Amino acid sequence: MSERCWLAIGAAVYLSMARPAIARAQSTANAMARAQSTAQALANVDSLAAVYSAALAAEAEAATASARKLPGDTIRVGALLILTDARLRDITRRAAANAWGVLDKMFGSTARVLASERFVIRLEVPAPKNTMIPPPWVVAPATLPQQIELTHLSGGGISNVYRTPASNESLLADALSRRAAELIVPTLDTALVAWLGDASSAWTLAHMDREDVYRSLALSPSPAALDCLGGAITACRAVLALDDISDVVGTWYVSPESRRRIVQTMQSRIRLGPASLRFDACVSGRAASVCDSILRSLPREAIAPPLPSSARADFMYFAIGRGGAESFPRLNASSGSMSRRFATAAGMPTDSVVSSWRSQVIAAAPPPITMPTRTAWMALAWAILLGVVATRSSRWR
Amino acid sequence: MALTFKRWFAIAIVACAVITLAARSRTASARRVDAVSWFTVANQPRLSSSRTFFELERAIMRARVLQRRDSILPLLRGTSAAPELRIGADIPAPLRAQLERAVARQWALTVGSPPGDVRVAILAVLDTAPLPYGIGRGGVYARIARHFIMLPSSTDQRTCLVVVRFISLATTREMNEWRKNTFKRILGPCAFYAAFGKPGVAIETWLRGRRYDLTYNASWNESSVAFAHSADDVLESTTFGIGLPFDAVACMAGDRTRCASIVTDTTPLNAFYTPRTPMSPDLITPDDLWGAGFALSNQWFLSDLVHDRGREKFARFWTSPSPLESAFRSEMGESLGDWVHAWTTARYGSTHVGPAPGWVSAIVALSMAAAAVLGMVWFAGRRQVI
Amino acid sequence: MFRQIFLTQWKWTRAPLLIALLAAFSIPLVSLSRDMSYTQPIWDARDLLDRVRSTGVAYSALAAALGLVLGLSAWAADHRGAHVYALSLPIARWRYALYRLGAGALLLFLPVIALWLSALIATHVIVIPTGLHAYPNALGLRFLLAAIVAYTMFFAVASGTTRAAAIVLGCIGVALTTMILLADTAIGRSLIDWAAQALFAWPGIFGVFTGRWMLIDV
Repeated sequence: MSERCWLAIGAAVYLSMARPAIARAQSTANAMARAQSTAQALANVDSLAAVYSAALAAEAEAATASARKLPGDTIRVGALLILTDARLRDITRRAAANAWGVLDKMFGSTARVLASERFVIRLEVPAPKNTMIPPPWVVAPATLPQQIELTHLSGGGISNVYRTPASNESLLADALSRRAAELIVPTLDTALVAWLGDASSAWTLAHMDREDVYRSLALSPSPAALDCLGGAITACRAVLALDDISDVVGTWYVSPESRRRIVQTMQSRIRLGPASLRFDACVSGRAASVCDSILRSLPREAIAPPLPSSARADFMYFAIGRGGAESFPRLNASSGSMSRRFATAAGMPTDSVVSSWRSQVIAAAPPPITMPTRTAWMALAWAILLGVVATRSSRWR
Repeated sequence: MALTFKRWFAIAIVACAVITLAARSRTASARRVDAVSWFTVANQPRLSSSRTFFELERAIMRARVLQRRDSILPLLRGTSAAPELRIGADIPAPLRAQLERAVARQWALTVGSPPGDVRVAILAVLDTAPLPYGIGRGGVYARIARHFIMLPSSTDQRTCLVVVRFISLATTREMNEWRKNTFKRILGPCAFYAAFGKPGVAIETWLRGRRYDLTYNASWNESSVAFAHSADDVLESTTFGIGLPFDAVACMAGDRTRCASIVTDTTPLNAFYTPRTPMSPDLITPDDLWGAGFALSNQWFLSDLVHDRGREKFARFWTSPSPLESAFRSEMGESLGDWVHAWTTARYGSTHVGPAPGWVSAIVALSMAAAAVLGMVWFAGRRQVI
Repeated sequence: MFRQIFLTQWKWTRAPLLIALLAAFSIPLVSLSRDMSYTQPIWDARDLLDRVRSTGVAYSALAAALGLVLGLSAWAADHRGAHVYALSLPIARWRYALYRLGAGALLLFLPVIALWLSALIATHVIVIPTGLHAYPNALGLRFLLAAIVAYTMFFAVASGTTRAAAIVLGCIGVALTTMILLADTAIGRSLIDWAAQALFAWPGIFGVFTGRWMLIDV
């Protein structure tokens, strides 16, 4: 055997013995590299923290000490605790009373969660740009007397700021109740929130416009909505989604024309890219089978309900009104279908609540358009005037 | 004073000169205003606290994920045959089951039987520890759940690690949304690594340059769904199709020379959304991608390529040692630009750019004008004045 | 003969032509007057495109107005003189009409050239962001095409009797008024949709006036 062969065998033996050691060495090197990258990441945190602290300190110094002071007056209405200054005390008190009235009526004892929150209402001040100094930010309030600012103190995070014209009490109350509702809604039962939608405006409608509810029922693309107006309580339950519906398309949009109309209302979501051909075939070509296939291809939550959430909110508000004190907490705490939950909240069978609500909606139907006497006289006067002018005209040339 | 030709011409020349000068002077004043407008704030030399806060949050998050990695890697015992789940004891059973189902489902639909050199581990933790330095949980850190992916090059060279971090377990709308968006693509690039092994050097460099965005949605069992907007809708939108790079628009308009760059470009696509300090080259945060990419369809790019060309061809491309474009051409039989063109137009449709009218429109318009002239000539010949 | 007709038409239309020329020269420069420096290409470029697009309607409106003014004024004097002058000329009537058409078309080139020069100046002055291109020539050509189409249409309409022109223009007015009055009804909406698709959408009769009049585009 040649020397080269011996060398090759020797090398093979060495490598087979050394492989675990090489693997161990590689593994150790990897572990060291990883530890190093983690250490670098931690060092990066420390250096950034130093920069952050310095920036914060510089910005805090830039804002004057007096400007950072919170307003001195405290107003407590129900569970609302509001800091304000002397000039806004009266308007804030009235707005808070209005807002609490809405919140208490809507949420009952559930609104107590607001007790741990603090609101600030003051004349608007410009916020320093790009700062993490906790709100409210203040610079010389007297320079901007036109607007009122409403903020919410929330542990240093960025808070939404509402601005309303100064001395507009109802707008301020509305902003306050909305902000408060935004804080309450996340604590509510998710199924209830999903049923109504999480837009805070739906939860705090101080004056429900039942005429609009009538209109949305009368003009809904769903035949079930018209059936509801006609007196079918089951149809009312369906359009309000009080029961679990396995086939929403078949329940809400039973006629081909209604399916075409609902597809048309979802234009912005459906008429996209290649799907626009199918959309046009359904809406313009009136191909019922295409409308059906479009609707069947959509997930249940994408099918637009027959009534807007304001109508559901109106129904909820009505049911709570029937149930007396603490009916909202009962609604929130209950479980099962929405139908059963409303029965629990209102303290009566769901059909009775629905029937009474429907009567109220029909009673709120807008009056037929009539012509005022004054307008009729005015039209007649114009006709006479124009007639006189015409008889005085020169011959045609 | 009659408007003679000389006067007319003089007035025209002087007025045009005035208009040009006026437009230029308006430009100069506008430039001074632009110098302090919002999009230049990020370039100010002095860092504001809010900007630093954002960076600090990200740095903390990164350090914590790396610490999790260091602690979990020595404990992993799994092989590349199946994903290994390590779910914290404080994760409730329903969420744990959902997570397990999501991983198993994506694995079965995509990876199947892996080639064996990369294993996948999923770590799910509840992170309620307060942040250091007394900072509150604001901006990015306040998201209820996030998932991070670490590729083998930043672990032990053979493990692709998915870290799912919850800061709360409340069943909120945000949590539901996150689950809906994330669970179906939870493995992200790890699915590619598990199914096809480590990529070739050039391919890996390319993917890393783009933060692996083309691999986020590994679901090659199906073609990607139709995207949100047609090309013309995007171009007519008020903000000129945020997210669509100009090269993508040009590509859809038929300029194939600009197609490949849609996927090969490694510069940040949208400077406004891109953080100043990236987390780490191999620490991927798919949740951060919203707002970047070509209207988010980039996530499906490689998945669609696998779906379109089959696993075998793609595997050869994935592991090819050649540069990207030549590897693509040799394995797929066409240029990268051509495939990108076909893929883009299949999803967005085609469009045209520039002011030139389409040929058909021009021919229709000119035919109409010619018909009007012929009609006029015919009418003129018959005219009688009484 | 053509020269004489050209000179008379020039005299009739030089004042509105001057206004049209200045308007045509202004549009490209005004649309780009704010865009000189780019430090953040992507974001600014999108902003620039939005602004360029928003001025697009001005080009088609000017082309239509130019065609209307030149087309109607070409025949105004003949109508006033009951066409006695034209019929007294020793040339065929159809040839005379073509001379009138050609003279107006030549005059049309003045604002078109002004627009093209302005587009060239504007795109030369600004720094075009990476990934975008300027299309001054294509824009000028398109403007020429749109103006010629509008001009020939209105010229043909005006070449008939005043009564015929009034009927055609009146029909257009009635159609527009009906659409506006019916705009809030379902019939009106579908009618407007149908009419807009047939007239303006690709490859509609007036498709040359609509679409993207982009001096700068991808």
